[in-house]
This record gives sequence, C-alpha cells and structure tokens, in this order.
Amino acid sequence: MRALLTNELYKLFKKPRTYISPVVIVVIIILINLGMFLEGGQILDFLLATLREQFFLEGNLINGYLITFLSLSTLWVHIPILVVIVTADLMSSEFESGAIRMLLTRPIKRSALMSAKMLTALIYVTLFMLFIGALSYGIATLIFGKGDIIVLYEGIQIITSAQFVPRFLLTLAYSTFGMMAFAAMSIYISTATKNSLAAILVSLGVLIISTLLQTFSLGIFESWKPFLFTYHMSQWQLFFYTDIPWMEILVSTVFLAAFTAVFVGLSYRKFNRLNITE
Amino acid sequence: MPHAPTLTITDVSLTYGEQLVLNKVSFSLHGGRILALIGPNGAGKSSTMRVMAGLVKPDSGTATYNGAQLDFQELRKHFGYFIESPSFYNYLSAKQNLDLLLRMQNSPQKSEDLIERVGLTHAANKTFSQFSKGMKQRLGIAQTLIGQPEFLILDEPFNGLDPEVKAQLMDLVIDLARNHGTGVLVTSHLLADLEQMADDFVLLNQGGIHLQGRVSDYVNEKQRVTLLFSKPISRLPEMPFEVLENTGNKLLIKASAQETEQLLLTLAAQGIAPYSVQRSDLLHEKYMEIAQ
Repeated sequence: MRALLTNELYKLFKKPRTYISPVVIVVIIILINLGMFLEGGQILDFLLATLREQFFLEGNLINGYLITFLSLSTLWVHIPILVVIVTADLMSSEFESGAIRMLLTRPIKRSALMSAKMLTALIYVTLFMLFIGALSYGIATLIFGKGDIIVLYEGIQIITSAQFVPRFLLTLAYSTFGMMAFAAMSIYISTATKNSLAAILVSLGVLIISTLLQTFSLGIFESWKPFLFTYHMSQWQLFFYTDIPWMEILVSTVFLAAFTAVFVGLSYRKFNRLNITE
Repeated sequence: MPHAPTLTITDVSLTYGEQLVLNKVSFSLHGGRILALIGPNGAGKSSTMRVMAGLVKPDSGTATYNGAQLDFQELRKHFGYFIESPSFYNYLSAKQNLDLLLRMQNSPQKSEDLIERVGLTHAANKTFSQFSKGMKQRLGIAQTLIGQPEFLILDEPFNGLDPEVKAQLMDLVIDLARNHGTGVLVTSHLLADLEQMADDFVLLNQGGIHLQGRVSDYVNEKQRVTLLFSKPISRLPEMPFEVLENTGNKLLIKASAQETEQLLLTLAAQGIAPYSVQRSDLLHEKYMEIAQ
C-alpha cells in the first residue's frame, strides 16, 4: 500500500497538469491583493456606506485579515473547478493511456490501487488548500497588516484580530473536507467514464447545477438546499459568525462525510467489477 | 531437481453480452516449456490471456497452480504479463516506468538490468512518448521479468519488431524457458516463429479448442515440400517419400522433416542444390483449415 501511494504521488507530481491549479491560484490572489491595494478604500466605503451612517467605525478596516477573508469568499466557487482538473484525471488517465492494464496485471489488489488513488486525492486537496491558505494569508498580511474584520452575514459579524487565525484554520480544515467530497465524486465519475475530459465536464456540470439551485431562494428550491452538496461546502462561512453555530456545522459535516462515503464506496464497487477489455 | 510448476485452467467460458467468446477452454502450462496459443483473429486468444491476467472475470471455469485451486486474480502472483501494444506513462522515462513497477512489487531487481536485458540501455532516460513501436515492445518484455515470475504470458510480443530485435527477444524467451525453467504462454500471428520456439500448442477456433498437442508431433509429420531448381534434375535418389509432382525444375513431394533433410544431403552430394525449399507442416495446414 505504501509503495502504491508513493507511486501515485510520484506520478502526480511528475504530471504538468498538477501545477496548473496552483499557478491559477497565485494569479488570482495577486490580482485580489493588487485590486484591494489600488481600489480597496473606495470599495470598502461603498460597502460600508450605510453602516457609517449608524456606527462610528474606527481603526484599519482594510487589513490583511479582511483581504484573506475576501480571497476565500472569491475563491470558494473556483477551488472545486481547480481541484477537479487533477482528481478527475486520477483514474481516467490510466484508462486513456492504457497503463491500467499494466497495473492490473501486477499482483496487487484493485481495492489497494483505488485506496492509493483516494489517498493521493486527499493529500493533493489538503496540500492545495494549505497552499491557498498560506498564500492568501501571507501576501495579504504582508501588504496590509492585521486587524479586526467586519463580515456582513445575516447582520454584522465582528471577528477580532485574536479570533481570526483559529477561525481561518478551522475554515481551511472544513473546506478541505468539502473539497474531498467533491473529489470523491469526481473520482467515481472518472472511473465510470474512463475519460478525463468527460469526467471533468460531468463533475463541473454537477457543480454548476448544484450551485445554481442553491442560489434560487424561492419555494421548492429553498427546500432542496439541505440536499445540495454545494450548500454544505459553502457552510465554511459559518466560522465567521461572531457566535459560531456549531450544530449547523456538525450537520453539514455529517452530510459531507456521508456524501464522500457514498462516492468512495461506489468507486470501489465500480473499479472492482470492471472488465478491462480494451 | 524440483518438480516443474504447472498452471492449469479448466472449462473457462466467457461471454461479452450475448456473444460467447470462450467456450470451455482448458489447458496446462508447464514450467520450462513454451506453449503457443494460436488461432485466427477472433478465436479467443487475447480473451484467454485477459482472463488469466485477471483483467476480465470469466463466467465459469477454474484455475489451479500445482493442483491447488486459485482465484484468477491470484494467478497474477505467478506470472509476468506482456500486453499487446504495451502502454506505460508517456511523461516518464523507461527507467522511471520500470522503477514504479519494481517498487509496486517490492522487487530488489534493478531497472538498469532489466533495460539492458532487452537492449534498451541507450534509451533508458528517454520518455516513453519518444519510443518507437519496437522499443515499446522491448520495454513491455522487460516489465514481464519483474519479480522473476515462474510463468510468462506474452500476447503478440514480436509485433512490429525488426528481424534482428525479434531474434534477440525470441532467444531471450527461449533462454528463460530452457535455462531458467520459466513456463511461457505466447501468441503470435507468425506461425513460423511459434513453431520455431514452442514445445506445445493450443489451436483455438471461435472460442473453443480445435486442437492441442506437441508441436514436434505435427511439424515432423509427412507434409508437402516444394523444391525449386535452377536446372532440371535428371534422376531422383531412391527414397521413401511420395512424389506428387516432378517437372524437372520443380519437385513436389510428401515427406517428413527428417526425409526432407536426407534428400537435401543426398542431392548436395551429387552437386545439386535447390534454390528454394518450402515446407508446409501439418500444424500450418490445420491452422489454414480453420482460417479459411
């Protein structure tokens, strides 16, 4: 198992496509910071215009913590897209290249190979999220310093400078969990379709539909929300409530765990029963 | 000397949808012997090999290793498998590809040694995408040697190779069987190659076994031999073979391999040498019967 995992990681980091997503993230985060550096004051004045009429706001509101938070808010829709580029390719690339026949004629168990693929996805997603976290936090605090932040979720949420780092780390951990759920789904689609492009497109299609349904807040659509994985993935925002609603986070965590378990199970089942006839 | 290992498959049947691909195929593969799996396209050669490799699950049938029943998936512990048109990772070098497989099997062998055995040392650090078809075939053979398996299953291993490389690889396979006790199951559409190296054969037709036996029993039977001469021969030596046609420049006889050899020696002693000798053996004829 260890050898299989080593092999999978070796292949992952040898593939050029592995580095596409981190490069895109670097560009986006630099652009966000640049934008806030040049236009941040005006943007904040616009956003807080109403608040300023009722409250006396004191201190450095455009600080590194706020920019880090804004980076996460901007990126959370894009991160799954960038994750799927790699995870949807994990199985299907083996079929496309024909290397799957070589792997499966070795004296190894199919379930062991699938486990190595799943662990590789988990490691990649974790490293990717850490990279995003470190980069967004590092650049923003370096340029803008630290401070308290105001978040406009269901009213005004105030996160003090001392509270920010632990909450940011919890957010990263929760987001990694959410991304792994999406990665598990993409691996299943990758195993079923045996085609990287189809796996990426189908995964993104599901993501787009789920995200769209989540944005509809009328009638029947509202009642669907608790069953949409994107709704639960977006619950990381709850960590930026002044009082964290732990029960809601727990429910979403259980949903994402179940979602992941279903697709991991389906992936094993599909792969173990697959006839390699090509 | 330890008893040669034996791998047996019995009554293996396989269907793809409604199509019966294999129908109760049974044979044994013995250590130190080369078994040729022959038959026209669609006869079931590759399907048989895929079942043995655990790539495809048969509908029925059993596998035994030295008499002990095994799951088809477990058979893989005992052999190296060469896939027709082998595929590796395009973005990795030959050495890196083999290192992956060596690590996977926890093998102490060195990729450099395997690469050297198939004559690819000069290309060890080239990526697989830069390889010619012949080089890919050779790397495919190299990976079958990982773990020093007791059996090799080779599906069309000599396709696309130039004669020199093909001869080298055939010698390698023969050496593994004769000197290292490896049992080899091999398919090729080049019957002459198989006759040259194989001890036994299984002739498949439409998913079932049409004929099986020892190659020597069929090759040494009396067969049609055509000899062509640049000058007409006046008198044939007295020999126990049947003359089917004699036009002077062309002689068609029915003779065994030994009788043919004796005739050639006798003619040579008289200063006569044919410029062409073509021998159609029984195995070839049996193959042609079903191919047509």
